[in-house]
Amino acid sequence: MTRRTARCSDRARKAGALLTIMLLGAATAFVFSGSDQQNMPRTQVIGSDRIVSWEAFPSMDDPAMCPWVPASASMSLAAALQGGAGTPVTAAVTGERIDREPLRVIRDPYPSYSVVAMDVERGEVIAGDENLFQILVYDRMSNTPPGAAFTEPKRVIAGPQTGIEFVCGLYVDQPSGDIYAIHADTAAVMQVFSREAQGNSRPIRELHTGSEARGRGFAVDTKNQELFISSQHNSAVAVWRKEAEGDEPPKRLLQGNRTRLANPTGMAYDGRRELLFVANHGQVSDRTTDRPNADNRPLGTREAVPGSGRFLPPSINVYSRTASGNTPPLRVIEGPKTLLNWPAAIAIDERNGELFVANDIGNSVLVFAPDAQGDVAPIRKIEGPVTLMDSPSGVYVDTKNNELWVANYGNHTMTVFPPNADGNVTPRRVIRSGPAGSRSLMIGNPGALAYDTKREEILAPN
Amino acid sequence: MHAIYYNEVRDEIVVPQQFAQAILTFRGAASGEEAPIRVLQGPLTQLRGSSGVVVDVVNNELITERKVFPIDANGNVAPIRTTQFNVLAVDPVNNLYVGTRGGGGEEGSANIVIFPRDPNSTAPVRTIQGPRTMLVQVMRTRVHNGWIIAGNDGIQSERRNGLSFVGVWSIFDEGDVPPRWTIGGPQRMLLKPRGLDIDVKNQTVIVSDKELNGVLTYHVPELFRESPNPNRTQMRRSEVLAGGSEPILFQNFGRSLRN
Repeated sequence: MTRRTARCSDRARKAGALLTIMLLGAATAFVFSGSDQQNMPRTQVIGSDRIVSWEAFPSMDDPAMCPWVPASASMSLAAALQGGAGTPVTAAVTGERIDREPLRVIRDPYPSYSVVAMDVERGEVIAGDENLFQILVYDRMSNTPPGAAFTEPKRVIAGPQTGIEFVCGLYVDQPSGDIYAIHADTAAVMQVFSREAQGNSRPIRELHTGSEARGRGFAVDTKNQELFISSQHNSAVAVWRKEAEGDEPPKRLLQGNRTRLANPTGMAYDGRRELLFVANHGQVSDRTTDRPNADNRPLGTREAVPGSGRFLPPSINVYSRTASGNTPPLRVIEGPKTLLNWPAAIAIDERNGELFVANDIGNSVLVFAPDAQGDVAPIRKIEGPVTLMDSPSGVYVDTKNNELWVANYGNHTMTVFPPNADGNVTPRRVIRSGPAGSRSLMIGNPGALAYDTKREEILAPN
Repeated sequence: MHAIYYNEVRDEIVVPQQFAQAILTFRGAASGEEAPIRVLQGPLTQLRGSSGVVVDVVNNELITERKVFPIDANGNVAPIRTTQFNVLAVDPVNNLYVGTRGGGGEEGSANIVIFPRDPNSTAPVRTIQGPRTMLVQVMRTRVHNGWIIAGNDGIQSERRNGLSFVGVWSIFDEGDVPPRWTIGGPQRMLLKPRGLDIDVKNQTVIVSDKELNGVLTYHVPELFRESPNPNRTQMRRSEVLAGGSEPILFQNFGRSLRN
């Protein structure tokens, strides 16, 4: 369902202004009530801000916009941010308070699609949103009209109980519709949500991967019921039973110098040819031993050899299904002709063995021949302004409907192409989570920050 | 990338690349796919995978993983000395480092450790610790004008527990001392503060938040118009609200490079 929201803006502004007054009033009352506590610790609290800043986002000035409250979501972002605002402060803070809003809040109010998967049987497309910590479910045939602000998802899984953070890997079990999710390096867990899950739902199953195997990429071998998870931190691939849960250890582990794994990201499994494809950004360090831990968990940074780190070219490595230990790849796609530039998610068209790569920094989707090896050029390349390709981080091949899905982290869009698309081609359909032409802020897990005093710029690594 | 430092004296950006056990330095104006001007990497560095980096702009040193390198170190260069604790910030005026140890448990489980830059000194000069500090996990920290400005993460495994804030202590504080000011929390907008820096010109504290996926700036002129008094561990309320009603002993205590 798509909705137009122009009529909402005045109402939203009034509600925001009222909320501002209420919060300021509450803050003032708290200041006066605390003023006679002369003997208490002299902490001053600066920052009664909460939802007030949400109203001040520049993008909300667009008369076509109002805060997004998905009809099917049990908790909106705004409500979530207000949670606890009225809760008294902890006992330790009993001194004076100076309530102060942030001068500015730089934040993207719209979902940023980081990964895409499909429930082919039920005609649904499932997207991960790393910005607002959500999983969004749309009808496969949704197509956001040019004048619409965005397309409302059929279901949204979001909220503190979900445990969803930076969703970087999704898999849908086609028979059941269960949704599997992993969350980059911030959560050492793989979650499984039921097909009906929505709102602030707990997962029906969790696999604690351990901090050494925090997942970045995801692939599933349905025939042998195995689950592959790539560890970005430790340049490893751990393999579990598909139905593993709790603290169950991996069945086997792929790690070591000879594997040529180096900051692995996306993965894809070709069931017909029984091959595992792993994309690598190209940064790695050695471990003190080739022997894996007894429980097959990756050797972590404690076993890293100091000073052994190095940069390698980005690559796609291909392994046999059962590869384990310090086993070299069967072949490697690597070199300047490949155009690989921060390869993110990858996908296989099992009908012909073609490999699709979401080439993040290259703003393209690269397609490689089934037998590609070494420094070879892609056989096709989808890129250009008409494609809407912008920091593509997710890719999925729907063989039933003969479609290629791309999640663009950079511009609030998911785009649909025929799998044989080549060049600067118009997408068949577009699902947008934000206004047409709007770029994502792409602030994702900003673990650090610096202020450039010369240029008066804020530097926010992601 | 879990750290970044802008060196305003040399107009350089310094970042760690933890997977490759490297420290990269870029031009301040770097943009796009630009190569670093220096790469610190190799067996002599003994780097294990830095998640933090600090620049001492006065002594021209780069500090990471308890190792100190010359600021110009490039390639396979050994550290010139080591530090006792992880260094989060440098107070070049007093030749002190501000670091942290512990944390991740209950409120007050983390410490701010103030220790000398002098490698021959073995003990911290002061430690700020205890339940009144409310410190759970000390994140990025800056020292300015004698103030320690530190991000405090609530319990990492819990979301929206309301324990996160940016706290301000005096470099002279010691023991179980509550923060002089808290910014953005507890129980306010900050959920998972990570990065932190200050804008002296505009008197703001800038914070990035991992859970909000955003950057917030707070106007805190108090931090920039006063210096802490080493003779008292707590300021009087009238001082703070009036912007300092008594003579400030160390007006020029902090050598802001912009002044």
